[in-house]
Amino acid sequence: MLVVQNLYKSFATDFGAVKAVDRISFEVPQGAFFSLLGPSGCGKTTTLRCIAGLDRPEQGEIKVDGAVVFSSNQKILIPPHQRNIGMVFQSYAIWPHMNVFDNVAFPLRIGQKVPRRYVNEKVQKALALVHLEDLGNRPATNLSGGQQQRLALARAVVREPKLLLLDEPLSNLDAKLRDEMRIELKRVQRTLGLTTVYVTHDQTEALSMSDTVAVMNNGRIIQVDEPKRIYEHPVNQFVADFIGAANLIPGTLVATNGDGFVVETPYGTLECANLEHGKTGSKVLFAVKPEDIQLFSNPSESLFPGWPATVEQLSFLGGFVDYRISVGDLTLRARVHPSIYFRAGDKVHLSFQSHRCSVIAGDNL
Amino acid sequence: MIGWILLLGPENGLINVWIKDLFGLEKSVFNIFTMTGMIFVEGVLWTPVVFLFMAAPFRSMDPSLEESAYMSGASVAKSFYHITLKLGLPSVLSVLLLTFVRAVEAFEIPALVGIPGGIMVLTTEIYLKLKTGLLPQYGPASAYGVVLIFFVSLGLYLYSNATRQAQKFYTITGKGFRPRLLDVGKWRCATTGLVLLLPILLVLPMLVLLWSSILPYYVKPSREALSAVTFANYVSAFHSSNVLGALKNSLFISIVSATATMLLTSITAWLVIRSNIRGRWLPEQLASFTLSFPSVVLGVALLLTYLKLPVPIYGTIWILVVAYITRYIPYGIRYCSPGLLQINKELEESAQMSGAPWGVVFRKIVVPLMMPSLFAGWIYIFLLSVRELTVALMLYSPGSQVISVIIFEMWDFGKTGDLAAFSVSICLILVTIAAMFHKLSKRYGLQI
Repeated sequence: MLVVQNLYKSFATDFGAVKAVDRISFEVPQGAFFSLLGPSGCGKTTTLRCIAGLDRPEQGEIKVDGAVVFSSNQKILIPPHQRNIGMVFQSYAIWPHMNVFDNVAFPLRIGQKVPRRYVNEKVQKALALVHLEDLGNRPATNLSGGQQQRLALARAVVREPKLLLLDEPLSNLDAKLRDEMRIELKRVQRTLGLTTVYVTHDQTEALSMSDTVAVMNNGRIIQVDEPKRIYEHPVNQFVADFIGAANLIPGTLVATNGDGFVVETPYGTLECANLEHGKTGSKVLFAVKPEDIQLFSNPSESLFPGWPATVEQLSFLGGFVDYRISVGDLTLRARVHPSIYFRAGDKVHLSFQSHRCSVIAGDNL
Repeated sequence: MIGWILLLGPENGLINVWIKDLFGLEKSVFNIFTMTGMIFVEGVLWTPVVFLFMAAPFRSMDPSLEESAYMSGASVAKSFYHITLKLGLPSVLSVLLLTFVRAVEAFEIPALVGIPGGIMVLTTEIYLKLKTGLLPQYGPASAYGVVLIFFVSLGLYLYSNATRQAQKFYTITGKGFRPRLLDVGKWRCATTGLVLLLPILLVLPMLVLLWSSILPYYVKPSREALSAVTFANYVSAFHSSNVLGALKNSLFISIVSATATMLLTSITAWLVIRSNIRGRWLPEQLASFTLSFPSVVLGVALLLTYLKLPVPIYGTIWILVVAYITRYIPYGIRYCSPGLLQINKELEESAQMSGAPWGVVFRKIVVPLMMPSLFAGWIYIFLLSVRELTVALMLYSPGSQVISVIIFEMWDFGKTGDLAAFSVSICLILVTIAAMFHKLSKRYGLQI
């Protein structure tokens, strides 16, 4: 559906050209929800704007629904208004001089010249989809943040575009509304079966909504995978850090025994079942998620190998307890069920669920 | 303007006469025919224009920007200085620049106040060098012109430097903004005084004009004088046919020039700010170029140009339309640029994504959102065109007289009564037009 190949764009700054998007390629199948995830300045928004046609890439090719909309080789650049792509902006970009109805009707009246008798019907349908059907006559400035968000979404989908682009649409909402809108957004996308590209720096949003997530850094795509794989099998330190606050323990890969891998660390030896990177003898990171660490008062209770440790600090968060555990000069985070309760200073035994841990590449190793 | 001379003139200025009577003084206290008098009148005349100019950007500023300053511990005055004023900097600077430039090249007040008082400024020197004596002295006049252009260009240079980082100053976003009123609290008296001062300064000379317009000859207001009240001045002022013709000409020229200028400049401003066409800086520089030409110089230049060019507009009112458009394009741009800078780019981009080509985006999104600035600019240019004297003096011909020329002639011939009556009528007409426009702009402008 959407094919991006070798996309390249740089910006001139006072310090010379900066590569905003550095030869990236990806494909989004029909009806899929695809997220570009990364810290600010990683090139995700520029990528999105190149797809939209609002920014002009220097090299590469972009195809939407089989049609080339940009190609540096063939010298094709279709202007944004001819691409039939819907887009929701970070600021929502609701036109303050029009009411709710007119905002949504604009793409139909201007973009497609839909006969007048259908405009009303289509606008009502789009407004109903986002539950704004009763607010058509409201001035657009007179809406709450969540309503403006819905309005922007209705406007983007009203003319049934081939592709929907979302540029950090939830970043201006408060947390509760954000959760709600996340579900809404996904529902609308699924109802319409719209191929969607979503740009965000929030891993929760990316993981919860997407079919596929592309993690970006410094203009490049680091990893493209389904959310579960991204979370459980990050390919390197950057992804592991960015996605899940994983505990990363530096060490050396010493042996491969059967289906497991042994990592020697200054704090002891660890075993795990997954190898993303490295060969025997190389410096690696041992990645373990907070929820894959278990705490016991007695080593004999544990099924997995582990280390003696001390509880430094804990915060009770309702559904779970967040512990900071120290092993020598190493501090690890563990997230455990509230039924297991220790106090700060308690000696504990921690164990790693080795089948859920992995060996990954460090950024500087 | 002439109202102030009637108020503060050393011989029979109304305020002077009153103060003399009150304190039994021999000499007049105020003399308008001085440097101070000139500065005062010039300043007062520019105040409403500056106000108009400043109102639009401040009106559309997001109040949370100020409120976050209060919450950071800044007093009202401090947050006004550090936030409001600095956010409004592009607008404030552009107004400052315009006022400076206009004051440097002002001709009318120096001509009416300065020349009788023997105080010369560059523009009056140029005018006198060209218009008095046996032959026009082009040499000295050009030299003065160059000096003038230097000062004006300096102002322009500073301005362009200061606004280079204009990106920072987006204040209208797609999010709802709700400007809030400030509770002035104990400052109520002071602010009320300030707010009232402006109208008083403006109304006083109007009143004295009104007074002299209904008297056959000028005397200070008294009970006896009331009995002599007559409307004869109005009848005689409008008796001559060229007065009505001039009125029609003035309105026509001003409306056409203002409309054409705002249309042209809104497109130019968009090209300069939003597009990345090569050479997009050119229109603004060109437009600023005419800004650095004083009216006197511009008047002569236009006169010579259209005498030579095979465009048959010389001797018609169209030469004045062309002249005013040329003259006021820079002002139009100065209105449009800040207005456009305050519109978040995403508002346009979302229209593009909705399938609107450039022309439609401009017509349906940019123009309506710029309406407050466009309206303000239109009124400004309209009023300037109606009042404009210098260029008109040089370019008018018998069929194409305009109001300002008629008033100047009446002053020259000492027909104070006719002049007062005519001025009062003009003011009424202008106020009506401005009020109608204000209403319109409320309807079509941003509903804030």
